[in-house]
Amino acid sequence: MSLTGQSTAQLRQAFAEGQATAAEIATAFLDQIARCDETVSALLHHDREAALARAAEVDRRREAGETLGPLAGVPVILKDNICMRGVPTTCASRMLENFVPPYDAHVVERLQAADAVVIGRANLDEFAMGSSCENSAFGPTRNPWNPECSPGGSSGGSAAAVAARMAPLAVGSDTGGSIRQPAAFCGVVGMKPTYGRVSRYGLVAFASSLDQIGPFSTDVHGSALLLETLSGHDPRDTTSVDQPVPSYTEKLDRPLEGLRVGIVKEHFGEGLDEEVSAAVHAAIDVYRSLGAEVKEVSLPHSKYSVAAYYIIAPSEASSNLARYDGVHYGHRAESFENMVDMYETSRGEAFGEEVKRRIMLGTYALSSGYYDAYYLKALKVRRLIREDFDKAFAEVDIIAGPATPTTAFRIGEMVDDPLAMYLNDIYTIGANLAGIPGLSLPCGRSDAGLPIGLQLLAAPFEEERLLRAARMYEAQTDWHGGCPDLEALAGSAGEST
Amino acid sequence: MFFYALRSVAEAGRFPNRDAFGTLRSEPDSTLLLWSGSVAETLTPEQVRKVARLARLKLTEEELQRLTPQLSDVLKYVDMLSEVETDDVEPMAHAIEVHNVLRPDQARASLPREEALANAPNSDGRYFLVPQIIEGA
Repeated sequence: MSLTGQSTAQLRQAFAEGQATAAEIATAFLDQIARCDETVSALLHHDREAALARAAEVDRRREAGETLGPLAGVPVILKDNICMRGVPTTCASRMLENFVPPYDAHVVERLQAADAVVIGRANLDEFAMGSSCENSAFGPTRNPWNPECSPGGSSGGSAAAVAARMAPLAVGSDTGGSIRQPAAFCGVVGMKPTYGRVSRYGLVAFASSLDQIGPFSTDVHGSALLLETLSGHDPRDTTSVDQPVPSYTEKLDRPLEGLRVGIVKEHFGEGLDEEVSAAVHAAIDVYRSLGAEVKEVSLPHSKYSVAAYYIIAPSEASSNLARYDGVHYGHRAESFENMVDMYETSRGEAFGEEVKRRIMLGTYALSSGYYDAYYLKALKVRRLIREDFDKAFAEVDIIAGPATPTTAFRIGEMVDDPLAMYLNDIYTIGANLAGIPGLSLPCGRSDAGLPIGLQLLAAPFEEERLLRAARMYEAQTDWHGGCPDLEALAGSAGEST
Repeated sequence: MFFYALRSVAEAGRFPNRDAFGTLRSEPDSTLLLWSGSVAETLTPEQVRKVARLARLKLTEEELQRLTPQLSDVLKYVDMLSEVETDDVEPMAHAIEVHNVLRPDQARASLPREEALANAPNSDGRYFLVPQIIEGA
């Protein structure tokens, strides 16, 4: 099998046993990028020479007999809102088009300490605001399963890159479903850890009480491995939690005895596509066949989660994005009348439409006379949403349901209807508001050949249980082995080069 | 209550509502008030223009016309929160209970000046340069 067709575990083994060098592995994936990315546009930028130099360094250290890290020689793609020293970090925004961070994010330090090889930077909705990757200032990413369709968002580039085998692993961020929804649309595994599990230091802030960094992979093992690499306490993020990080891979293949799976009746109501519903029910039957107890639980406030989110997230965003003032970094307008006009013109020129919409919503929700009615109210509803989850997890170990209401929609289908786009996140947003971990893994394909995602949720810091439950299902099915038609993706690009 | 008007922008300290910065005031703005109990009404382009000013965003006329109904739609949707009984509910600002995190007050190395200034749109190598703020200075 070609190197790009291999799982993370297989690549590690090939490297460890000397069947492939880090340089050979990196070359294989960089070649895959060269073949497919003209069609997919998953990456905003990558530096082939720098990646190869890094891989050669890993090889040199192995030859010198040094002990290498757990991701030695494994290629990783990073969402372009995570700072890496000396490498552009654009957030898919004109505002940061020329921004080069002077420091590494915590997760970048972790990847480097693990001897991973970062080979590219993935597209996203501008500042991670969106569910389709269409809000990128540098053009949309296309779904490798059907280039007419969206890969989802905001981490659409990371998901599409893994689906198109441009890397076995990618890193994304999830504020309202931005890892799990694109993972579902692209047929890969994607996970949002518990809030605080992974340091946000160096992640460009969108909504600080909701943002969390997490892994993408071709299989559950890859996410477990990447998560144990990224997790851990970091004093530079005061919300980073000082709790030991279990080895998520150690017991991954051991099925959970007496697993109690919750299904939420509110997740199977109006708006859920029939094919998605059928695939998710079939997945729940797999758990039944494995001896799990399946019981219904209720999340009565879940129907308010999108409404609460679209107050809380834009409010935090309007504050976080106030830093883009054209003074310290980022875009500054060429002509302006005075200081205030410089702010307004610079921001007006460089922010895209969705970012402006959210800043406006947040500014409005926090403005005089509205704070109690909108923001405070949303924070109270947020607590009720969390309490629903607490009650549910007193009765079940995991909750299983659809990751998205539909399979991938067409690019352009919803650009004029922001509210319809927001409602796409209805199943994923609750986990961000409550701070709990969630994961999406492939559980089927529609008649049109588009992937369907199963979302699993667990109580805070129960990542190990979540991953083992996911692996139990994965071990019984072949959906994770599915791959889009890479030859067709390479076709048009191959002819032009 | 009135100081909430600029909470979002003032928090980050970039756009403080000081006189030197001109038009921003801290009185409650009656032209923005359209909350009448539980039902949000439709926004007008004038109100949207006002919010844009608070947010320090220059919008084109076309953007303003497009944003006005879109923001109204979202506000009408989020109005469903008003049906939830929350009188005895504590607001939840963070997903995990957040405590004060303290560290020893020790001097540490910081970013070298040239690196801190490297991304600045305009600098003289020592400071960030901005347009003149105080008239006649």
